[in-house]
Amino acid sequence: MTRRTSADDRLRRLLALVPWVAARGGADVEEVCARFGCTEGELRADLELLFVCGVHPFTPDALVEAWLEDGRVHISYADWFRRPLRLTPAQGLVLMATARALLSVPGTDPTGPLARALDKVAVAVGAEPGEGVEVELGEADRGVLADLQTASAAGRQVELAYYSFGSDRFTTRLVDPWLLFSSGGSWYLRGLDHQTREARHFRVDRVRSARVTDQPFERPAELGPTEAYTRRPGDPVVVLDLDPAASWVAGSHPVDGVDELGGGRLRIHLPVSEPGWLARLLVRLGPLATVVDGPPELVDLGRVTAARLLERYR
Amino acid sequence: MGTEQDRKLERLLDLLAALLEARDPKARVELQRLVPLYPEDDVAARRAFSRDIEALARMGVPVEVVDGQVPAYRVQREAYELPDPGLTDEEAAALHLALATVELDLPEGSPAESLWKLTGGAAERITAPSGSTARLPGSEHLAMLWAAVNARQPVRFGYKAELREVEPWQLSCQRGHWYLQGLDRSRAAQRLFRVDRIEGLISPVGAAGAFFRPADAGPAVPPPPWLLGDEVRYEARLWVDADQAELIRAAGSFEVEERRPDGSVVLSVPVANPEAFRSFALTLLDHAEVLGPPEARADVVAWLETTAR
Repeated sequence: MTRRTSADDRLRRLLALVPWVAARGGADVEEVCARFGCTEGELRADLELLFVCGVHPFTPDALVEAWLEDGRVHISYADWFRRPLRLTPAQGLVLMATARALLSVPGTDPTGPLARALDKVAVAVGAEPGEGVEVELGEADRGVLADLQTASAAGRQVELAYYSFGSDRFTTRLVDPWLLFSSGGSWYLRGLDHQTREARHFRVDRVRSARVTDQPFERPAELGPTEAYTRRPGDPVVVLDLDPAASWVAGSHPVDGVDELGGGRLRIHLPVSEPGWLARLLVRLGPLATVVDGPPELVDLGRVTAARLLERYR
Repeated sequence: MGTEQDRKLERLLDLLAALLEARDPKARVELQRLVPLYPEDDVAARRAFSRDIEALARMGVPVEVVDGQVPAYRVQREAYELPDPGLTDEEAAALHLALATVELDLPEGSPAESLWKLTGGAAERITAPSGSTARLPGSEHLAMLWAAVNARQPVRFGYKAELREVEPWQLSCQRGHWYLQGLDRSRAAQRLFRVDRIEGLISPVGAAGAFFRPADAGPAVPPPPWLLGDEVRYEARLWVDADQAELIRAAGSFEVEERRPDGSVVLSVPVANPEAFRSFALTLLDHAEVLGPPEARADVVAWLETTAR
C-alpha cells in the first residue's frame, strides 16, 4: 500500500475502531484490519499513539490502555470514545438515499432487512423514518426490469423487443445481460448484443418486452463503462450554433468543446452516436440551432426531418 | 509515516478527549494547557489550534463555540455520540449491500466511514451483485439541505436570480436530478427547486424547528415539462402509433382518449407550457401527430416550416 493516509484519516478510523473493539473486550488483529481497512503495521502505529492519549494530568488512570497481544487487540479505559462519532449530514444522506434507491427497485422486499435497517438508521441520524428523501432510479416498466434482473442474476440470455432511438426502429435482439445500471435517472442494460457481437447499452424504458431464455452466458471479467453515453472513437462530430434559449444543450450532452460567440450564443462540437438522436434534437431546437459544420448527411438532417414531418400535417 | 503526522494525530486525540471531558466551555489557552502538544510560540500555537478545530468540525465533531471575551470551546457527549441503532447482522448486511450497489459521491459522505460507525465495517468485502448498480448525481448543496430538512430549519438561497426564503420539506432524486420541495415564503406557495440550479450559498434563516411538512404536501416529483406553467391552456390531442404507445404508457400516466384498431392511440394531454409540449411531440418524430386544438397544431406546423427552410 503506497496510499498516503493523513492524520485526519487515521483519526476517523480510530474514532470508529476504538468503540468497536472496546465494546467487545478485544478482537482479532486480522478481523480489525479487514473491517477498518488498514494493515497490521498501520494498526500498530495507531495503537501506540492511542496508548499515550488521554486527558490532563496524563497519570495512568487518565490514559487509554491499548495493546496488541497474541494476535488480539485490546483497548480499555477509552471512555471518551465509548461510542462512535455521529454521521455527518452527508453520510446520513448517502445512507438514506442509497437505501431508498435500492428499495425502489422491483424485487426488494419493502418490509425486509433493508427497510428495517433504514428505519433504525433514520432514528440514529435524527431523520423522520420514511421522510426527508425520495429516490427514483428511472422510469421503466417494472415487469421488464424484473425480467432483466432475473436473467442477469441467473446468467441467462434474454430476447428483447427493443426500440432503437437512434435508428428509430423496433428490433428483436438476443443479449447477454451482464449488468443493469441506473445513471442520469434512467435504467440501462449493458451486455453483449449477439447480432453485432458488440458490447453495448440498452435503455430499459425502450424495451417493450424481455423473454428470459434457457441459454446460459459467460459474464466477462471486465464489463466496461456504466455511463449513459461513452464517446466512441468513430462517432462523427457536428458543429452547432445555439441561441441563448438553447444553451442548455451544452450542459446536458457530452460535448467536445464549447465556444462563446457573444450575446449568449454558443458554438458546440457535439459527438453524434446515432443520426436519429441528432434528428430529434434538431427538430426540437428548430430555429434555435444551426448546424454550421459536419458530415453532409448530418448537416441537412434537421431540415430533411422537419420537411418529412411536415408532410403529415399537410 | 512521519513523526510529524503522529504528533498531529496524538494532539487531535487529546484535544478531542479534553473537549469531551470539559464540563464548561474552555478557552484556547486553557485547552492548550490541558493538551501540552502545541508549539511554544503563541502565533504558531494559535494557528495549529484553529486548524485542529477545523479538522474536527469537518469530520463532523459538533464543536460548540461559545462567544465571550474570548471564544470558548467544548463538545457535548449527547451531540457527539452516535446512538446505537441496534442493527441485526442481517440488517447490517443489507446496508452494506445498498452502499455497494448505489453510488452517491458527496464531500464528507464516505460510505465506508458510515459503515465503520454503524456496524464496525464488514469482516468480508461486500460487492454489488452482478445484477445491478446505480449512480446518483452529487451536489455540493445536498448535505446542507438534508441537514435543514431534518432540523426543520428555514433557509435562504438564490434561484433564478432571486433570493428565496424556503421551508425545506423534502429532497428527491428524479430523472437524474435532485429536487428540493418546500414552501417558498417569498411567494407563499409550495415549490419544487432543482438543487443544481441553486445559486451561491445556502444560509439558515431564524431558528430550527420552525415548521412542519404538511401531510398533504404530495410527492416531491417534478411534473412533466408541458405542465410547468401557471395554468392549463388547453387539452391537446396527440396521436401516437402502436409501437410508441406502449413505451409511452410505461413511462408516465397519460389519459387515453381513443384506441384505434391498428393499436395506435389518441392521448389527451393537459398543456400549461406549449413549447415543452411541442418539444415532446416532435421528439416522437413520425410516431406522433398533434391533432388539436387548432392553435397547438398550427404551432407545430409553423415550427416545422421554419426548421425545414
